[in-house]
Amino acid sequence: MDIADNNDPALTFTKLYSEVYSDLYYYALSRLGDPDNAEDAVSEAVLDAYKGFRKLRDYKRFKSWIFKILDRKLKYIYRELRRRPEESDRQEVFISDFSGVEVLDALKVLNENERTVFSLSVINNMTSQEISEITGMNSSTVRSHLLRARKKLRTDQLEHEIQ
Amino acid sequence: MSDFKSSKKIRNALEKDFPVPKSLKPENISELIKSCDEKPVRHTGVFSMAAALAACIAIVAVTAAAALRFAPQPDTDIYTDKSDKSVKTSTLPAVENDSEPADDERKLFDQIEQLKLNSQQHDQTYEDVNHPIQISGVSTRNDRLAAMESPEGSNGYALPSSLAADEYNIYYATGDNMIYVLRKGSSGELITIAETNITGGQLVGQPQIILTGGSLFVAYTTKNSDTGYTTHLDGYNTAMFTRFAEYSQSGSLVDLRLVDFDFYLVTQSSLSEIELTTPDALSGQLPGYYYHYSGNEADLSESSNQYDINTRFCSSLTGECVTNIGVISSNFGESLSCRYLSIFGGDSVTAYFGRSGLYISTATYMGQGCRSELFSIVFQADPYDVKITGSFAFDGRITDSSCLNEYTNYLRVAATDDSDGMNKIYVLFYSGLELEGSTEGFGEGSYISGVKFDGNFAYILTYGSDDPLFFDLSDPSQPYQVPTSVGAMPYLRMCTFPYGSDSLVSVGSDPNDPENGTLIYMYQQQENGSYLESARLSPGADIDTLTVDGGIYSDSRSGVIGFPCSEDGKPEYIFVRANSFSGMELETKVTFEGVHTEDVICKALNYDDTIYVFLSNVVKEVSLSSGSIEAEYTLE
Repeated sequence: MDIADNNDPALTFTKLYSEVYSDLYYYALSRLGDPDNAEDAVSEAVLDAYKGFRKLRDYKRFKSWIFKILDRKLKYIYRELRRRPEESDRQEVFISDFSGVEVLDALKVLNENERTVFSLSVINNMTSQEISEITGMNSSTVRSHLLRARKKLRTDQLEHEIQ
Repeated sequence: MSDFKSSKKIRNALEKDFPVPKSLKPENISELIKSCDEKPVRHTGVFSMAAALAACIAIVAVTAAAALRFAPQPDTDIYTDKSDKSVKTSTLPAVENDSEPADDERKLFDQIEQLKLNSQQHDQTYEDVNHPIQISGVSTRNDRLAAMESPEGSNGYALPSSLAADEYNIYYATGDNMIYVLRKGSSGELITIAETNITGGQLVGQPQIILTGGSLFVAYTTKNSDTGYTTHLDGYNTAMFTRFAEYSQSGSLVDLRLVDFDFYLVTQSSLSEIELTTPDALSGQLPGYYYHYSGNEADLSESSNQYDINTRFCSSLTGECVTNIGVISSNFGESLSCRYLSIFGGDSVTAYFGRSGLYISTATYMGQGCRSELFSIVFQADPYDVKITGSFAFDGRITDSSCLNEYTNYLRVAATDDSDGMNKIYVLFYSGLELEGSTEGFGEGSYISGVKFDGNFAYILTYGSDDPLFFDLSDPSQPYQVPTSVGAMPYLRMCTFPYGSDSLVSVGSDPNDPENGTLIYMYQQQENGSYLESARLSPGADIDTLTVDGGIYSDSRSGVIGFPCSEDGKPEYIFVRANSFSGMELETKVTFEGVHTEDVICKALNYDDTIYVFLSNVVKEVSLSSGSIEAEYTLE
């Protein structure tokens, strides 16, 4: 699709956005742990993305492109939020209950990189290659972060309980 | 059960408890993006000077109008001398055109207004200030770029930290709105001799302290539901610890510089000059929109002549692709006046002041790749005579101002080209920016995260390749990557910084072997200028390097390196004895209980041969000679 042939970039943008918006939101939610902040982050990312949309030449890359924009935004918001920490001395977490609230709570045990990778991999079902493209980490880094995240979250325990 | 099924289960749980908000549904985002459709005409190519100048006038007019609209009310913009209770109101700057904007200008005005509103929703804090922050051996820059500046010593700018010390006291501003003054008691114990609350709303980020001329200045940003973000600069007498002055300005802190006897305080909505010589001599403020975000930078430098102090600055309007290069002329207490030169175009801007002038790089993103244009800008004897003297265009982008360096008539530029995943160093003649030479592409598939130029050498950290990479730039026409004899140098993620006069230290971990935990490498400079590994240490397989809020401590004279890390999820501050001849060994692990690693901002301060490690309101005392923890204090 060529933007030059399209008289309504807003429509094209909306169409492309409709395919990824829920992924964007749940990525933001799992990174930030708060639905209001996640909504704000996605809104701002959408605005930024639309401003630069006419420069996007290959629409096949829309998903990774808008995820990159959101990822950058989340980093800043996350750092700001981190300054008001919750007291916790947990070392490991068992996700034994699968309510969304508890999932978000459990993710707090992960550091920023681990949470990023875990959110993209587990919640958005992306491959390490896709995650690498969005975050700039190389694939082996992605895998090592995921390994550590799983170790912390004890997903083996989680999987056992699902069975 | 497969990963896919458990992923789905987790995702379903989130979807059930947290449905996507209506505002984000595709059918509702048209409202959101509608405001973006009306965009001002952009001009690219700086040498279209006529257009640029015409637009410049418009910008000045609009900025002035915006300033008047957004300027704080007089009674909120005060410099208060607490001793005599007098309140003095600052003067607004002289502006070149204060007429009402025309229709086209009004559109731009509205854009600025929208940006301003966005900024308030998405304010920046101290962590984004991209300058070395170091006093008395403390480094608080929060990323590994920060640590690429030597944590040792201080420089003329002596940018602030939340921790400082003079020969009597330690001053410590916590994230809990408190400032403490601590002193060693007669029997060596640390005692609190004064404390005070930071006021003005909920603190955002870490307060910053500058000690100068017998006074303590504390800069911080607060958030208030009524007034939004406000940046404060309070002055305290260090002898009595009484507050003698306070200054506040709307917007969060972008940058704070102390140059000679002036503070330059840059918030997102103004640039203020605050003189220290007389407490009431607030020179004035220059309203505008100073956006410092995601690689865009504000920068300023100062030069003096017999009559005026001319402060040169660069600010960028992110999203609107306007970079303003200005000269502020202040004549000791008079109002500020300003002249702009505006560059239009580019999605992000990086500014760097070299010895010869200002260099601006604007990057325009195109799909996966990016095209950048670099400009050299010279300031003439006439403070208002600002000229662009050269330009250079290249494929790729520069990460931040650490990628630019002027040295012996050459500007060195370290750039990343995302389209082919290669990085290069360009060497340009400084004035016209003619290309003299460039390296071969390096770090394939990765991108530059930090550069340290050191005379004819440079070393570079990248994401995704073995670090650091060394470069010989002594021949401008043939810069090249220096091969090292270390075959399996791991990819170290956290930081690299100078240690002593001839060594580098890298702290990080090898993601290909995460079970190894943190690794510390020392490199020694050889006679030919390149570096070779001289020592390495693995303090423990369970020790993870913390990449948040740095806090590297380095003292090569005492042979001590300290850095924050975590072990089993608990924060630690590790001290290592490091010597380029005898190697490195683990000295002390300072552990903290009951806090989560994500909350850690560890800082260390060498004071009177004792190292104090600060974490929130806990201070631990480590003896430099024995390496053991001697005492622990809780600030109440």
